[in-house]
Amino acid sequence: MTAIASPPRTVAPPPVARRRRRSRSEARPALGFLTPSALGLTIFVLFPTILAVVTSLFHWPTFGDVTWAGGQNYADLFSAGSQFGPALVNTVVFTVLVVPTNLVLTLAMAFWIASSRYRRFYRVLFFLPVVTPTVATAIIWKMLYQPGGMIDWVASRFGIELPNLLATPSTALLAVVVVILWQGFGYNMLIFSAAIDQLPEDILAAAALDGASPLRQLFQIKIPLMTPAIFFASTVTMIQAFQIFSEPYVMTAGGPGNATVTIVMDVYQTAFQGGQLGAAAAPAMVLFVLILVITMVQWIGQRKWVHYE
Amino acid sequence: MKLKAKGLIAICVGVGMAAAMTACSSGGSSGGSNGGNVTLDWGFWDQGDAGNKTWQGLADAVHKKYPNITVKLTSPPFADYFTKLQSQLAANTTPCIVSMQSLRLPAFASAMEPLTDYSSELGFTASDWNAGALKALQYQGKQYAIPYGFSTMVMYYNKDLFAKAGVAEPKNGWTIDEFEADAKKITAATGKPAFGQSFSDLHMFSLLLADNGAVPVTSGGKLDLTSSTMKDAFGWYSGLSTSQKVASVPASSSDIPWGEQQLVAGNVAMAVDGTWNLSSNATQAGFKIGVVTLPQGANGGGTFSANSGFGISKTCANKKEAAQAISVITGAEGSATAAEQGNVPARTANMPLFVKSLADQVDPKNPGYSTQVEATMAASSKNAVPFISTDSWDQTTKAIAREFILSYTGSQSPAQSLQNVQNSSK
Amino acid sequence: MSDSVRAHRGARRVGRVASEILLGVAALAFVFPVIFTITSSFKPNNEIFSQPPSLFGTEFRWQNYVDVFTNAPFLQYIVNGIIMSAAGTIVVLIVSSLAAYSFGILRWRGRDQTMLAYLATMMIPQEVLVIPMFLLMQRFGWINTWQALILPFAFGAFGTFLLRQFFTSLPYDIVEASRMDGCSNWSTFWRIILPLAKPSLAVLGVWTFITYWNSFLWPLIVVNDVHQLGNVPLGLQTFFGEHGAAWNLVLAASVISIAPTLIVVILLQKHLVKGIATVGLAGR
Repeated sequence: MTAIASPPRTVAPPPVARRRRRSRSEARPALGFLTPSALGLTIFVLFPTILAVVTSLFHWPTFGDVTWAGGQNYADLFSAGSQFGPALVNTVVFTVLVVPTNLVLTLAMAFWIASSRYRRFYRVLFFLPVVTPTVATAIIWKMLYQPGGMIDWVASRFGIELPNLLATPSTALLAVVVVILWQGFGYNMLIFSAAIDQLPEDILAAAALDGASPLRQLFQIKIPLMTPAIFFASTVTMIQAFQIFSEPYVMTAGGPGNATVTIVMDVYQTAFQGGQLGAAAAPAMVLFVLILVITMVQWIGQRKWVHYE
Repeated sequence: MKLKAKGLIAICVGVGMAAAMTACSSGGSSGGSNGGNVTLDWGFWDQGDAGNKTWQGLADAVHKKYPNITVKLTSPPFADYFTKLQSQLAANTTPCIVSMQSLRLPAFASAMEPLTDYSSELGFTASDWNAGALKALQYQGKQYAIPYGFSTMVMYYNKDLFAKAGVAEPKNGWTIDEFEADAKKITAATGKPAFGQSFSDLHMFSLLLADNGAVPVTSGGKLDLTSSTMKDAFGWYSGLSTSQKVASVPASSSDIPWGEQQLVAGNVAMAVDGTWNLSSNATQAGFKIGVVTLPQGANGGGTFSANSGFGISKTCANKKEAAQAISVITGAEGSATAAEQGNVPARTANMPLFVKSLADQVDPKNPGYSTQVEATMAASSKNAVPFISTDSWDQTTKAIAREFILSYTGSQSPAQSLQNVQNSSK
Repeated sequence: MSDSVRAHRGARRVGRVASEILLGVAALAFVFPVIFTITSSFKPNNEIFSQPPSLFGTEFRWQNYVDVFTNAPFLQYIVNGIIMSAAGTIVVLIVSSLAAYSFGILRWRGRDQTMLAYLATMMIPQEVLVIPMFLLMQRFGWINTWQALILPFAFGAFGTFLLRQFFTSLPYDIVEASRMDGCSNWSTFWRIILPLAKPSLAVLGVWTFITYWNSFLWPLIVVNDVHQLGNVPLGLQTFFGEHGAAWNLVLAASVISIAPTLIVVILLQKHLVKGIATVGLAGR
């Protein structure tokens, strides 16, 4: 029995070096096609970003005098009373919990759905939480979580006594993670579900003929073929996970204690409740650097595990 | 490399423009002048469709009295009004006429104009007004807004649940001991906690004040949660849920108004709420609601009052006209209309109108409500002190919700929670 | 057919049926909170938080759904949301596809590094950009206008990244062939690449539509006249008044607002399937 050949590992797209002859003549049209996007990006993203960076170097209240702060805003992040430490820890914890769980669950569900006749219906069904307004999600989930609520009621049927889930530091973060996973489930599941649909029939048939067990097919053929999708989903999900804010904000407002404060929540509160724009921009910049570093690691690492063709 | 240089240039241009933008970010406040004709922006949180129409009517009344002034009312959602205000302040697009809560005045006072120079335009006579209402909208001795309402904190209770538990309804002037006794009896009889705790600053601190006179903020405007009176009072309040087990704990730190909602939902028998809800609570509840003054401890301090009003932003280009507009909006007729709609008036003359509107709306299914309201409001106003907050009060309230829940659930000592909030608000 | 094969086939069938049933149960459990939202939206306001919790209230208050439209100009919010989201989606599709052509088809020095730089702009939280953006709007005189709602966030990198992934998965021979036929870049883009890209454009379209539809912070800041320009999330907040919230109306309004986005998803599901797969993602 021949071993199933794994797809050739290539880096995509081909590097520019190969086409040096063309590169100069393509820079001009490239600029042309890029102009609308680059122009918009410069005006609407780059300028506000630069302004935000500049802001972080000042004491900049929403009304009142603006004074130079230098690195003071950054230094303050690590001072005694600052929320940044707990926020950073929580943000990392959220990301570590959300991203792998999301990927595994959505991938698993996508495979499960693939075996069903009602595949299309389920795709839309699992998308419902995505299109439900966050405010309604918060109301309903809080009702589910509260003592005497549905989850408590179900648990009591099994004789389990649950603590006040959103009010206990050890359980609050996990409770919010569940809501985040629930609400964002549909996006990645849709991606994977479609990727499965597009798996090349010929390779799968060959594997089946060779007598590979379904499990082996899954792990040695299907998933490797889907690594580009997994890479895309993991990159985007991670970037978003680091910026988690609205779910913990509406569910627990950062409490109990500091259990569910995130960096973006800290940014928001400093700017819009504290009225301090400079002090709000500093943690945002730190977050940016963090995300950039991790994404670059992923980007470079993709050669090792992502199979493009 | 070509592109690298391009990138560098782009950055330099970017920084240059950013600097230019911030250097000359004037803008000036909203409102234009047009040879004597002035358009003023008025920011007031959304009052619901019917409410907005009422206030728009008052804005139109300004134009009738002063034809050269046109007032444009914008109504952001209440929950986000102050978030939006921050961004308006940052960009100098603050509306000329700013609506302000007494609770938040210290934080925003430096962006508002003291009204002392405009008393003639305002046609202002102090005696027309409830003294507490005026005082609440003062900061460091200066008046910053003219009030449109006046409220005190009182105890709302569920008459039906009291009857079911066989407990006599509380009377104005009742004590903390009586409150505890009632709570215990009702909890035992109904199986559900009798009292709803809250994180809302007014709702919670007013009960602490009533217990032993504890106040969270010194008269100088500084946060002080670590005084011994505060520790005792808060210890007692947390104990209602942890040791006495007669109180319902908020489900999370994002449930700031907990007890008051649970009361209307019929889940608890008593909760503290403001007199601004006298009308809406009674009409919304599916049971008979009663109101009574806050139970007083041996050194009880009465209750807190709070209200909202209208002021002028510092960046307004037409301050005189704004003052004139405010005088109409808060004038006698305007106040009367508001009172008839169920808003507790700050003008003393309009009280009877308010009571009558309650009598018409609520008494049919809840006999005696309006009379009880009148008595309770009179009693609670007698020893009501305005709630003074700090200039970073918003952040403090968030810290309170996050820390106090740990004490309500017994995970953290009350003293520790108070200390943590004190530390976070430096 | 031998007995063992028949038995094997029978077992397989039972297995499949069992799997379907279990899937149905799992899906039901997953969607339960949404069901709860819908049933709660028919309760009277003071029963929403009643304990012990129940799916249904004492009455089935259809009136809630009427009140949503009479207590607030909710239809206007929905229309505004549709205008804003549709316009924004169109801008994003145009701008991103052009840029993706540059990043994915054309070859030039520093292309991939610039792509990474583009990606980096996604890593800055919106919350810190809104105030500088607001200052910019004030400079342009765009406060409380449609363009302020649509344009500022229409140039994000996400769309470009997504389409670039798709474009790079197309065989380059197509482009070479079109070049050899004498087609200009614009022709290649318009006549060859874009038609092939329809599925991925549909993906980006749905994504963008939902993002605009659900946006809250930016509309809050830049819109002064909520009735005229407010979208659904902003409109939902108007049910939270000074004197307490109309929870039943919030829930009913939320249920109503699921409809437009769900319709968009269902209609484009066909394209969606093919689109996502060929975003260079299925290794083909």
